[in-house]
Amino acid sequence: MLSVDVAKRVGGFDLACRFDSGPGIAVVVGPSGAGKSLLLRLVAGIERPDRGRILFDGDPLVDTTRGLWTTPQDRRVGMVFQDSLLLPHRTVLENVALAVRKRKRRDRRTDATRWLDEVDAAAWADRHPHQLSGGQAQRVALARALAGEPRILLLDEPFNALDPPVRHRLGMLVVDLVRRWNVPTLFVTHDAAEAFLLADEIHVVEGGSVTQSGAPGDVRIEGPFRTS
Amino acid sequence: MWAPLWLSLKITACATALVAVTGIGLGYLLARREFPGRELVDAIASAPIVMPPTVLGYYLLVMVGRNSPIGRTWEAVFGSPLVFSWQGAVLAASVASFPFCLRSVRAAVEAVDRRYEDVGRVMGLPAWRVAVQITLPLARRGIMAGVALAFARALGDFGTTVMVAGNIPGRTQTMPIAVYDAVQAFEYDRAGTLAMVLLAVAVLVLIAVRRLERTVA
Repeated sequence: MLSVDVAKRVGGFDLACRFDSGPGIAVVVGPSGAGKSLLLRLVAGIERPDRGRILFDGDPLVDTTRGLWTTPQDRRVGMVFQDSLLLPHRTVLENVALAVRKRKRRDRRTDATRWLDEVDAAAWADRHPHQLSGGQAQRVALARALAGEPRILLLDEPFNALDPPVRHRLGMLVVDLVRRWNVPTLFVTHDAAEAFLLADEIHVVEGGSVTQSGAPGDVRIEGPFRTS
Repeated sequence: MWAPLWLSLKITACATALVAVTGIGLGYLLARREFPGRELVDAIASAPIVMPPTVLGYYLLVMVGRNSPIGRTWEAVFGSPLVFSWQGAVLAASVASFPFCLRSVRAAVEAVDRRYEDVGRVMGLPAWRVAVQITLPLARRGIMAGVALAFARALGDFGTTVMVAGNIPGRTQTMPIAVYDAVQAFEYDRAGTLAMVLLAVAVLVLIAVRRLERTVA
């Protein structure tokens, strides 16, 4: 489904990653500073690789040798960051509605309500982001990412700042949503336990490159990661 | 008494509207778009801050005077000269107050966390919608402060306006010029009243802006 082979140099850091991922949840796990977030930003089209290509279902999102580039707007990806990054001047419903790719305002609001329902957040539709807890805000961010009906879902350490029980619940919510909506997902985390809990497949990224790829049973992670 | 006040409000309102639209537009571009000569554009647009108002007015007079290409074009289209008209006073007040709005907008937009804009682009919003629906609302406090500053500067302008539009009672004599005129004529009571009204208007507007800032924050 997703085929990545890219290189990029940022400051003194070299990223050179190569992996293929299938349907379900592919967890990209590694120590902080390993280049995981950069990898997601490349897939989203927020950053351009120095060289390489990213294909989705054979369709090039970027290919530097052929000079191909798909803008982030046209990639149809949904993304959730560590901070929810909900727009503070809009209500929860308006935040989600902004991501719905439909012309009519009423259709956008209807869809947004449905997506809020999906993540059990419909009760907060009229609140503003500052009135939400961290976990609530990430639920809404998840609804917003799905509201664009993405071809790929990109989650960049989405539950890092949350307490373990909330984190576990939201992890299970992601597993459930990905199954039901059948949207291939890249989930970035530095937490090996979270990786094994959620993953259909795991890609270990260390020092800017993929060191292991495989099913959770085939990947070995020794101890907690050292931060590089 | 009321003619200069009415004229001042009309000129200041027009100048503030003009400055808000152009200042927000250019301020956004300077903060978020790379283009050749970007810093030169910023420096030229900001120059009025460091120029004496009369010098700025002199340059404007040269640029839009009756013998200049701009002045001739204006006269051909509207039938009367731009200089020594209330529209000329709007131009003077606008150019003098523009950099205050521009700098404030640029700084406010630069302070917006770019990741919000990334979210917008990934959502599929075209660049103009990212700017209008994400970046500018996030920068709104700085933008409003800039517009308020521009309003204050435009309302109080003397030197630039008097060079470009002169001192014609009922046509281009704004409040600050009327105060000067009254003092020159030893009419201190009139000067005092005018000054008090001008001060009251300025304070009222700034309070209103403060209120507005708080309600949208």
